[in-house]
Amino acid sequence: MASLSLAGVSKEFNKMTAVSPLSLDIADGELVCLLGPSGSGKSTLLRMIGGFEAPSSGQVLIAGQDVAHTRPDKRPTAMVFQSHALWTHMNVFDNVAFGLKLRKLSKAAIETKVMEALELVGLGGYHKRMPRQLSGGQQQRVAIARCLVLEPKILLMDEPFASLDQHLRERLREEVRQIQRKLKITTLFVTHAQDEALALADRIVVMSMGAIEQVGTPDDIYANPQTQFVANFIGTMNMIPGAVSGGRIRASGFDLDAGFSDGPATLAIRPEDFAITETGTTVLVKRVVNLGPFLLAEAEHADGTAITVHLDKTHPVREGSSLTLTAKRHAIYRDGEKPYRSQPTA
Amino acid sequence: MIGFIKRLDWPGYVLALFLIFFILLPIVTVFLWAFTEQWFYPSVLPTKWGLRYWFKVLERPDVWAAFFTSVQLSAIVTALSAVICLPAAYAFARMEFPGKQFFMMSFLMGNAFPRFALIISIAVLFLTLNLVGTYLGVVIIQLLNTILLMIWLPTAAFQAVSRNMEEAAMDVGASPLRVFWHITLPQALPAIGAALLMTFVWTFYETEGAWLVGAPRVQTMPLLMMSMINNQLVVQYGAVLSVALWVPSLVALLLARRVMGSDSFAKGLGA
Amino acid sequence: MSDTLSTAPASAPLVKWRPTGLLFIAAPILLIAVFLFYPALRSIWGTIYVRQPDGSYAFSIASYLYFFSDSYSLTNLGRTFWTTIVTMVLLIAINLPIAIYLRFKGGRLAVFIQVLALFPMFVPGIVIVYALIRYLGPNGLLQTLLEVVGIGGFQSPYLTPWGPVIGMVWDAMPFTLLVLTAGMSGIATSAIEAAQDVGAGRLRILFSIILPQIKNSLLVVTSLNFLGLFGQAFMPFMLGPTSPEMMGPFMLRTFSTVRDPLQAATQATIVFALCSVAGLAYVRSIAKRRAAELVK
Repeated sequence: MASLSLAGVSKEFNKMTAVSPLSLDIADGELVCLLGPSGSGKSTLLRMIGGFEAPSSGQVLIAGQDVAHTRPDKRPTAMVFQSHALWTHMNVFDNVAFGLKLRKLSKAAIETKVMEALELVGLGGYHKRMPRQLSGGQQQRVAIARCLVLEPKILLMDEPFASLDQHLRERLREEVRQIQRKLKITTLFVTHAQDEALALADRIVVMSMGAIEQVGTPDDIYANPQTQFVANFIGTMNMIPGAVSGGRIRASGFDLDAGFSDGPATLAIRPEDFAITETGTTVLVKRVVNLGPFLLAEAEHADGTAITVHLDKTHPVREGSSLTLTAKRHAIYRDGEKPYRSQPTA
Repeated sequence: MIGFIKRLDWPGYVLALFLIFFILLPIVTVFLWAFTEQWFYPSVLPTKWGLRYWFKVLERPDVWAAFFTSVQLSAIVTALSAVICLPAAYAFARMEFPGKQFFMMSFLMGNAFPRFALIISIAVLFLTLNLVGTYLGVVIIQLLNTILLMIWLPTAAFQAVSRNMEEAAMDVGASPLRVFWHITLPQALPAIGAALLMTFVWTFYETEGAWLVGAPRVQTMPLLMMSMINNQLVVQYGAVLSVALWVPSLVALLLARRVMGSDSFAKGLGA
Repeated sequence: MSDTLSTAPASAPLVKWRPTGLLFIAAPILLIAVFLFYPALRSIWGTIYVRQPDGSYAFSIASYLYFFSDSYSLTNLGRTFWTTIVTMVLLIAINLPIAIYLRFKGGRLAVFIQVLALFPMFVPGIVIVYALIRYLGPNGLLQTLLEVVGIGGFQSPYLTPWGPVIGMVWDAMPFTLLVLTAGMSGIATSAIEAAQDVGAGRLRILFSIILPQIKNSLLVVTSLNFLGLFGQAFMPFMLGPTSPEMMGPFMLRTFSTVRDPLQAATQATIVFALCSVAGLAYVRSIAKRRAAELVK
């Protein structure tokens, strides 16, 4: 197992920047998710770590050694691809065994290792099947076994569950989490699904347009988005345009403290961070949606600003009624960055 | 994408160089000869350029006769082929009937015979039917040649028309005939047009069937060119005819290919 | 066509089990039955059930005995095998690298290569022949070019056994490349990257991943090329030597010049028989693919 460091790594394709120079340290045994919309450079970054793209600049250090221009097979990394990338003409056993055979291991050793790996991903007894006889989830498990059998120091996963249905994704990501814990293998997991990242990662790296927006634990990222992009991308955030003057921000009837210089700014409040109070901002409820554990109210302030509020079910609310709200917690952004954050008041 | 091929592109240059020598230069030669009045051996380029032989070719009555024979034959064969094959293509794409798989396979089986041996056995039959050396004989043998293409491409075209599109039309009250006429056919038309065009061009240049069944009484353009090449008549005649006849057909076929995409050929043959 | 469609009730789905489909395909079926399968069977039958000198018909394999005892016929058969196999090997040797290159490379050079390699598709056989004679023939453009750069001693392949080989490689290039490319497009880039990741080198990827994955395409290309090349008449006639000659021109001459339809039919039957293996392989691969598609 090994640590991974990126130092000033960047990638350009035909003079288009895919990844701007960035640095990142990943500890031994950590599971890190690269999270971002498509085109944010997260897959390119992963492929540079795996050796499938050469960085335009910078170093890729694995256990302190620069491998930026080393061939994929000479790196202690193994990659699980988005399309499972199984070799469809080989059965499950041969798929997993292929890399071991190239390493000229004895037949008995290969068999033991392959069976162990298949057992690990829950596919014991499936070794004689052909890939097309497996379900999508099983195919992806074979792909994982194929990587693990080579005992890589770093496991790279490029949206491995993107083509699976929601239920299966949730199950597989739990299994990946358990395997990763058990083997203590350093893992980088690329995804565009925030729920996957929040559920899986020790730390999340949020990327946008080839740059890192924020690095942090799932809790930190969710509770404390450092940029407006992160705030919007992870969870839902009400963005209310307003202005700061004299240490207070005023926006659509809200009047909250702000450790900010005077000028226009955006007030950000999560739907669940509202409290219903006697005094505060009054909004008109336009629509109520039952989301199971709670209600979601789409409301509108008199100045036309739309505000989304989560309400627990003890608060009966009807469309057309009005709500008076205050914020338990809020953040302020200017130019997309430089946040101010209040402490939770509730 | 693959690192090791990416590093240095010498394979690309080797392949390109080979193809220039193997494919491009022979074609260039034809063009050079077509505009040559004199070309003595050790010279790399013609010693005297000119259009003289174009006029000479255009003056020959046998050229015009063969040209009209070929155009007429190709038009008749293409029309017949369309009438015979298009309904079948529609049936293969949109209907279920007993033995469908079997009949589809039997059309493909046509591919599984060595062509010239087939032509010989057809010619042996034609000999007893007195069809050798007749126009009708040539029409039949060239028609056989077009069936596979004329069924396969339109079948794929009809299949590609979205069922939902047809069902949507029925939903708004169109009768099946209207659906076919206003939805299915227009959607499939570009590909069918391409198939017609290719059939016409291929028939125009079909050589072996016409040669065995038609020659010498039915003289098509390729047969005329063959005799010009074999009799070592003026070199330029062949070149002029090649350029004059082939450039328009090249343009037509390139248009056809735009419509169809490159995969449909290979896919149709079972790749 | 209009009748069947208009009489169907408007609510009926477009796909229905109806024998009218048979009516639609009757014409082409009839055509190939009468003018393809019938003559083929008839000429095969005609070679073993032969008209005797006294006018009666009897079973006889005399024409086959003649073929297999005639050294000229056998030499021609051997020449046909040689030409077919050499051409097939060359076609794969040339087109496989091109297909692999095109699969993994983009850019202008790749487009240039693709356009050139597919170009023969748009060149009718007669023009190919003419171009090759002028280019490769004695005192042709290639010889001139070679002498310009100081390479002498050019031996023209025109009218040698290599003449038809070159002509047929030219002719069959696009088809071979298209089928190989189609097969190659089915290989996911990630499948190859995964192999690289576990340590497979170039050759290993070629033999363990690429070739097995395009097995079906190789089979189609090999069988169809065999069928196409073995029976070729035009290219060998125009570019090859007259003696020994390939089965195509041999059949042609037997039929038109020697005017011996029985022997020509015998030769055709022998070609049928030898090609039936390739034909069967082709039909089987198609059937297998169809079955696979139906399962999907």
